[in-house]
Amino acid sequence: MDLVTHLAHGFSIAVTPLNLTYCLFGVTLGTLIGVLPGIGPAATLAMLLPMTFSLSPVTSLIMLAGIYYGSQYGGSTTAILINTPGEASSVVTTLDGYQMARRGRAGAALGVAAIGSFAAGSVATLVVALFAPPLSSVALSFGAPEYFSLMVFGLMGAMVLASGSLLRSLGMVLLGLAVGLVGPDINSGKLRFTYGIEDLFDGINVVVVAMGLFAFAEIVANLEHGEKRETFTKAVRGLLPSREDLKRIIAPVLRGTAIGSLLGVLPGGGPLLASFAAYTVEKKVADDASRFGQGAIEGVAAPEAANNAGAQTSFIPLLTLGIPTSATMALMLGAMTMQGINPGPQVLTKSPDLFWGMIASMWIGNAMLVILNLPLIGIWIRLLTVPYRLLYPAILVFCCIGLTSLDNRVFDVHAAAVFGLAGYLLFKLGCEPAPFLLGFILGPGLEENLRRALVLSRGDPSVFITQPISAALLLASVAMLAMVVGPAVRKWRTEVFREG
Amino acid sequence: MVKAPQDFWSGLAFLGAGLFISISAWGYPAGTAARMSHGYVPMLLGYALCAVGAASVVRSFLVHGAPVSRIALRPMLPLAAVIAFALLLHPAGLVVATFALIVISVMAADRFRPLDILILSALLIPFNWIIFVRALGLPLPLLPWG
Repeated sequence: MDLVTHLAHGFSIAVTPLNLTYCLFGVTLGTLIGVLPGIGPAATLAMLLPMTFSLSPVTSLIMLAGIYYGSQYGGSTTAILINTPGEASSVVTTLDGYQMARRGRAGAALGVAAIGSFAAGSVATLVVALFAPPLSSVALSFGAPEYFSLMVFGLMGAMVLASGSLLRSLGMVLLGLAVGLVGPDINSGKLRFTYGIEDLFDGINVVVVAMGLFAFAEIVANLEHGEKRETFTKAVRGLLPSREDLKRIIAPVLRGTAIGSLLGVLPGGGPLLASFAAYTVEKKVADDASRFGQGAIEGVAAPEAANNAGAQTSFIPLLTLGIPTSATMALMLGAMTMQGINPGPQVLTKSPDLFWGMIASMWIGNAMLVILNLPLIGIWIRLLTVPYRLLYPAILVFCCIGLTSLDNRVFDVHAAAVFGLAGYLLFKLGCEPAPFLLGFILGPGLEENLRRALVLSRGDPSVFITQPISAALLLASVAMLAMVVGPAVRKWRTEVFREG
Repeated sequence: MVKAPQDFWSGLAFLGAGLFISISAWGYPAGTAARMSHGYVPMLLGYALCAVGAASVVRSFLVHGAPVSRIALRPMLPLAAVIAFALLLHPAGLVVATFALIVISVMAADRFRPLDILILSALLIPFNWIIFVRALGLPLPLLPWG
């Protein structure tokens, strides 16, 4: 079978000593930053990107991907032991995981989280291997109108599913699109928004934006809240769940995997939404919903399966369409571009080594993570006792060195500080950074495809609704918007009428 | 009366950015829809941002929303620390720049702990030298005018 040959080829690439080493390094670092609250995968990817220039594209992407899904494992440890999500996507795990820990079942909770994540990760890897090739062959026939509508759909998803106000997310997307255009115009090479500043003549690097928004601004926001932690690290034993536990979690893990795989593909979806949805579903199907929040084992297994599955399948739109669905995926796209790979449907045909090697490495990485997270759990628990006040100066130092080495200039450090300040102020105003970063990364592509589509149609904008695929994508965008705005408008009207 | 301060101030920010972008875009040729020049899309984005900002400001007078919490200055010290690093790196070298970054960023914590400066310097400065300068060979000056 084709799939088997491809996967075998992928494994032959992923198991070279170099790739295995970097895969291990990636998942270990991912677990580390997953365990530590206050630093996320987006900031870590931004920090490591400049150091990957010397690696081959496959090796660097294997490592960067490992950081991302590794952080999903690590995040649950923190959620269970100290009732704080180590990673945003393990928020739900705090509900029942911490309760299990308080009832002396921390070991079982950690074990279930790791086993559920591994099962989900293995299935989701297969989902990527099965669904990415057909999707990418469909995408090969896409022209400029289809790509334009696809990007609109992606940005709309990121806006609609962002947690804040829709209007503010729209503002952030537009702002990101505009900042993405700084530098030379792709068609004419003419400079835009550079104001005579020579360091802007090549545009702004995605690492600069991501470090400012996701590392610097986040540190400022964390410091403002102050540090209050109650660690639950005393007695963690009995990591292997009982047979009864295992029997109980089979169905929740399968449901979580299905939900996670599906939501991971959607723009703006990803692991966070997947884990929430999985938890809600478990609560609905349980015979006794009151157990949830009191240490229900299903409430740990399903969301953990879902967030890991979602982390894997969010690679599908990136690898087949070149569309990132989250801030972390935007950085993966940045990494591919910097390595000279044009993300999109041609990745599969032009760089099959990269595609299949990465997929195989995901399975290997998941296996490594189970080992890292079960027998070695003691090390990660000890890490939780490192106070944040010793962490953030170290993060700042690594960020600064990474920024300096991007282009061998300190301008990027200053620019990231500006993004950090702007990010913090916008955070104060309830504006999220993820829609901005997606707009930033998609800005040039959106403009290019809009211009190309309109050249071909001689300026007739109806080309976007007469082409069936493009029309369907735009219709889906409008439907998504209507679902969210509908109730909001109604609520707003009642509020206004109540006032009047 | 402003009922939703977050909407009001973010609206003003978007409006300001939108105006700035539109005015900049007027300096670039726009072309026509069929033959867009490099000013067309920036102009559209500027106008759209103005519209979003205006809508947000109008909304802030109609619907109740979240307040804006006070902006504190001490948590912003890490940004100053980063800028100090950038300013010091080339004249004074990596060791001095890292030390300055550590000193300023440690002052952002809830109370000042001199011991933290010692611990961090003792760990990070040798680490930077071994990993970044020696192992990865990044072209960073180590000591003043080095």
